[in-house]
Amino acid sequence: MKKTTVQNYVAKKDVLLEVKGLKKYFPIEKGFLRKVVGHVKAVDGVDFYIKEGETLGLVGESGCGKSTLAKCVLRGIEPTSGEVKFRLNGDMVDINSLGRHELRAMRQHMQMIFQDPFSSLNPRMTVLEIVGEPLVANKLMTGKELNDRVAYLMEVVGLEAKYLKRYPHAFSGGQRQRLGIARALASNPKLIVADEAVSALDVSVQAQILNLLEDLQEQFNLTYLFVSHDLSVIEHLCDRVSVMYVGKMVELAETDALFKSPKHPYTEALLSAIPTPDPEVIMERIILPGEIANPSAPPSGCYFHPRCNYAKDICKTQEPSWQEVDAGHFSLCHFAKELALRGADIQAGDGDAGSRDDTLQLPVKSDYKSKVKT
Amino acid sequence: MVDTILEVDDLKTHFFLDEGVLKALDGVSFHIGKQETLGVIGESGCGKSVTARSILRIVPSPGQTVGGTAKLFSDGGASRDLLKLKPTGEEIRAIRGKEISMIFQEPMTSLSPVHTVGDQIEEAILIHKTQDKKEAHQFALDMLDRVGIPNPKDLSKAYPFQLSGGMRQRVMIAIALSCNPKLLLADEPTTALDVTVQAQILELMKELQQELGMSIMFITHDLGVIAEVADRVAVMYLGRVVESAPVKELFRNPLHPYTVNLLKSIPRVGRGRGKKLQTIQGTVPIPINLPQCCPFMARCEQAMPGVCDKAVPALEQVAENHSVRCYLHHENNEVAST
Repeated sequence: MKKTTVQNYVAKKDVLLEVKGLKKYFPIEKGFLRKVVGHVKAVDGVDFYIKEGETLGLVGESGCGKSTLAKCVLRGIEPTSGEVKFRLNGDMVDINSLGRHELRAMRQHMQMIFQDPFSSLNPRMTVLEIVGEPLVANKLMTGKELNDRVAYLMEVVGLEAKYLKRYPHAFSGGQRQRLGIARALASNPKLIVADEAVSALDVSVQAQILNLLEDLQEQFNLTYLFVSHDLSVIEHLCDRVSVMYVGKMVELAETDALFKSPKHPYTEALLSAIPTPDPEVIMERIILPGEIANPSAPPSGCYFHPRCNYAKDICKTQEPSWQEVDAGHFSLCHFAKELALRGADIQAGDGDAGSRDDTLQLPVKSDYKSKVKT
Repeated sequence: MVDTILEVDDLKTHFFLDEGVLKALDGVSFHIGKQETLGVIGESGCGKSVTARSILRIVPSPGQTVGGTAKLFSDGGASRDLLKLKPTGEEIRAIRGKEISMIFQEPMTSLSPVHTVGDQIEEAILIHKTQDKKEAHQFALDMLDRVGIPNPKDLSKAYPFQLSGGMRQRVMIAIALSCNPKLLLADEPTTALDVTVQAQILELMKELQQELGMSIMFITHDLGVIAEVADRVAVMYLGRVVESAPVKELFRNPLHPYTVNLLKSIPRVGRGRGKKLQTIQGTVPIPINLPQCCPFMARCEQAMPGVCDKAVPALEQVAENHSVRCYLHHENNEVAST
């Protein structure tokens, strides 16, 4: 029943990627015979879709399965079960049923940006080889055409084309991340999966890369699946956000709805834990007791119940179902409709040094010139 | 003003590399008051961690502290210059861990993988507090309990790999606080942790600070964390403190263009989507052979030709407790231009 609601909500033709019941269990092997004694349920039955031109944020703490999910979407790792459908020329193609060669051709349309700009670029390849690799691998371009395309891509991401023959070590962290983005753009993909793409960067560089990602989305009509643990980055960039906890999606909603009125206690706690960059705001923080559950031996019932302030008896025994609380707002909680949860303290322009532009205006340059002359 | 516990003046630590002299710290000055939390903020490579290491004299080779003073005041008012002590000498070793201790960023790499957690806490206690092993063990258990580790008796026998990141950081804090230090140097203590765990650890550090009455130097690159924990903030850029002010003042009225842009470049919850983030153009240069001008000049939108490129601006007090290293805010910058 729940799946029909998903389908009703979406006008089918807009959907670029549709994921149904996706699972990835990693076996735990023990002993000499490598007997399988259990499974780490990294991704445990996830349903969602992404519309064309949209940015879906995926947020959660380390170990919740967000990176595994991102890789499963591209079939970078083989999922245990489930469907991943990608729209190509009007047809929904199930990626998990493709053969090796078909999958390879498919990858032109879906690319990935990685977290660590230092380990994701081969130090023995030049920029031309790195950025051009998707084109060479898919036999799309060679020779001068390839050269020109890579030079163009470099300019698109804000690097100078004259650096084509350099090796990655000659670039800074932010520049390397730009190279990673250029490589992802090379084959003109529709979907880009960005796994913690700005997490390793300094704040000032992070802002540059976030702006670049937004510009590129507009320019090339890209669709992003943006994985991050940083809620303020997610809020800045994403149209819709989904929250993961121990392999399951616990909430999915439009960004504003999720931040203003969360429908899952975990989201509430996560929002309250964001440090506010303003010393005058005193946050009432929800400190979660205990630690994130072990995905190989999750608790009974609702996985979140041992840490949940609102848990009742039913939460210990019965698994909650994925229900649509408001239009397009899904939650995995028995009491999603009853609970009145607190969102992030959003008071536009208040207590926010950056937005208080009137008080923050730097004196204009000419003022200083006159000051200097006097 | 509160009594000072540590006063650092014109601290210079240079790394002698094949490429030239890398001036990681080039005249850092600040002070920390009793029971005060000084937040030190800056991007990677600005010298935050080297500052903490210089104070404890554990700068890795080929780095050397080549100038300045770091005075540690004792209760009576007498002071010792840490930079004059021999890095391997008895005197500094008596201070490390006892009067000043440090929490490192990565709890995984800074704990020994081959010793149990209990042994690692006892080590510091046995050096500084007591020779009695039983007493030390009991004390270690108390410390584990205090930092909120459930079932300390069993967990003291665990090895670091058996613990989660948050638990490891709690162990690090237990080690650092086991000898009631007067000053705690916390180098990005929550950077490697998730937000909900970070909230737990920050809460714990605040509680322990009140309980033990220590001063904290809190190093981080996260402006949100700084706003939460610090009383006063020092902003660092390329091996110098460029602005220092009480935390509310700094966030309400930042003066240095670097601070202003840094505050504007972070995405904030509630600012709304679609608005462009302000960025700082360019990247942090490598501090080898930098010209003698304002180090931020190349990236500064307000740079004044003929003023900023003449000399490095001094850290001048422009309001009560608010100092800034920028000609835009110096009274007598016309002197520099003539």
